[in-house]
Amino acid sequence: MENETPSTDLHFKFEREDTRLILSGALTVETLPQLEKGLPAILRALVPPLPDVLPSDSRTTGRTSTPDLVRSAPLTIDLRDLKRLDTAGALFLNQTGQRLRASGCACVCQGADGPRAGLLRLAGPPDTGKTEGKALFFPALLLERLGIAVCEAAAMFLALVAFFGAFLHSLAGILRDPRRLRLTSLVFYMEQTGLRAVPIVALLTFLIGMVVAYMGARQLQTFGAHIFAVNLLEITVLREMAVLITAIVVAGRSGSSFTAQIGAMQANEEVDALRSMGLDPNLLLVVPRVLALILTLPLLVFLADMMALLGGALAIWYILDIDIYAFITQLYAVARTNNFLVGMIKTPFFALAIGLIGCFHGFRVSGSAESVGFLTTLAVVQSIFSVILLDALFAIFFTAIRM
Amino acid sequence: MDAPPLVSLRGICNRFGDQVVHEHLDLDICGGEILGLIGASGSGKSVLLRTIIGLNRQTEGSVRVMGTDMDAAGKKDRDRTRRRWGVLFQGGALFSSLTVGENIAFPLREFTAISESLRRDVAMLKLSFVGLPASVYKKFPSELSGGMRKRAGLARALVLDPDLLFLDEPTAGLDPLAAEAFDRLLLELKKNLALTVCMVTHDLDSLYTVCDRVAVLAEKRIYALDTIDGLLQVDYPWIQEYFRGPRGRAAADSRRGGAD
Repeated sequence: MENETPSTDLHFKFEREDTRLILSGALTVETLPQLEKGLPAILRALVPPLPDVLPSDSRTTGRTSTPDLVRSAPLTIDLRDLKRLDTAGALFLNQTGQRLRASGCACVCQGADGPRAGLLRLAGPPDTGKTEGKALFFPALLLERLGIAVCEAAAMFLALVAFFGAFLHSLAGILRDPRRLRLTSLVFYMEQTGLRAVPIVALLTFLIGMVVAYMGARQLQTFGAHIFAVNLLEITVLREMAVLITAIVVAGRSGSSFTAQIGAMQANEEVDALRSMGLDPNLLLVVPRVLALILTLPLLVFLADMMALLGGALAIWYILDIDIYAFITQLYAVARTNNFLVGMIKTPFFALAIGLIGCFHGFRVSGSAESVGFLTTLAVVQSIFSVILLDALFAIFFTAIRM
Repeated sequence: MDAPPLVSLRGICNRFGDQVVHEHLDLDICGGEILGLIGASGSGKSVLLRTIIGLNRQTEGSVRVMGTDMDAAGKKDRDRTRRRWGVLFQGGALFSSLTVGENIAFPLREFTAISESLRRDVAMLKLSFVGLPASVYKKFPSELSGGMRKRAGLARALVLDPDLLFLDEPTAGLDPLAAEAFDRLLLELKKNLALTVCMVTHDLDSLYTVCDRVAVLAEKRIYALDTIDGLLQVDYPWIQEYFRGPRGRAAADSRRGGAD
């Protein structure tokens, strides 16, 4: 600020006799609020109010409503002492003039010549821009939103079903001609979604097994039925917990990365490039990912089962002093293969749901990078939701067939 | 030009690891001019622009903008200076979570206390400045084409009536008509708002029609800084090829045709 000191203050003065508003200093966005607040009050105070009141502009708030002006009083706005004027200030002057004229009061700007005239012309009031539609009554607005949400959800579900169909179609093509399967990417995704998930899945299910066994053992101890802690562990872990925990971890890890990968490709027009070459993005992008998930999730769940049983065995050994050999004997006695099978049967379906939803949302990315993030979150939420929903349906099903 | 330059770079060096981008670079931008900044790809035009606006801290040298030494000055002075310039990034850099109107009004909301209705009117005015219809006000940036996003970005850069405007390839990706309209807009804004503009561009037509002077970035410094006619006299192969190549000649011819 050494070279010039721009005047940053605004002074305004109203001379009642010749209805002249003298502005001096700088009229810029910084100082405009002063004038905006001061102007109505000054005009209202100094002009003798007549019954002829201006209709207040519908867009202004009550605070800045147009002052009550006399029809006949012509207002002179004196800009000769004004050092600086910017477009916002010019716009405000123009708007003030326009409002006054609309109510039959003449308004002249004095000292508006040279570049300032150009500025005032440039800052002519914009076409008032009635862009907003009529505001709806609040409950109606809620109803409208609800309707839009329902329609969007239904359309999304239909699109997902269509996507599933396209996936099956590509899969059928592979069955006819197995060479079409991209073996390299299948193996790559099996490593990504399966092998890389081993440590976290193993650790989590080990801990879950311990927790289940610990809680069960403490409760059953009070009834003297310690040994049934093994039964409880077996049914809880093999039938539900290991499967659910693994599926949720995989949904968070792999489902989201599917959306992000395909979404980034979609945003970069890579998917369009594939289509333009006459290649099927489903075959190249979706099938390897979903198949990899379907193949690896059962393996992960088996690992999870084992880890959970191990964790449970250790917890039971520690609390109830049932050692590993006794634990295994008891496990043999109670472990009908049913619980294990029930757990395993569910896994490919969970894998299918997670993979499809992840890929589906990847293809829904459009344009902006922001939508990748949004859709990734959505994919994780929806795949976890669908896993739990499917689990509930399976529970009903297996109960019905007494398995 | 006897007035002190608006932007003055002295002895700027920029090094990234072993790579030297600028070495002892000096540049002055005078008040009221439109300065074009050209250079081969990878010659460090963007780095230079980012250095001036403080997004990249130079390895050596000083940057003075509007009399403020941007490295020595306190945060308050720096921020005040920053508010007096506007920057248009290549893709517009609109905030994707705000509508176009909110984007343009954003600096007003952050830095001034004017009423909401006036804020909207100012934003709407800037929207009409850059030739966008009022209907885009409520749209989100993702619903606009690249050219419209650029214009909206310019409207946001202009909203506080900056003294200084930095443009990074403003006409890249625009169709020729839109690019021409952009050039006209720039000239009109310069005339009415007393703007000083520094633009990185590869558009020869823009260089010929709007730029008062052109700075050539080569050999890690400002190799030449002159009007285009002056640059044509500079004996440097890249400059000669740049302006005397088929595209350069076509741009020069069309300007001569337009002037007659």
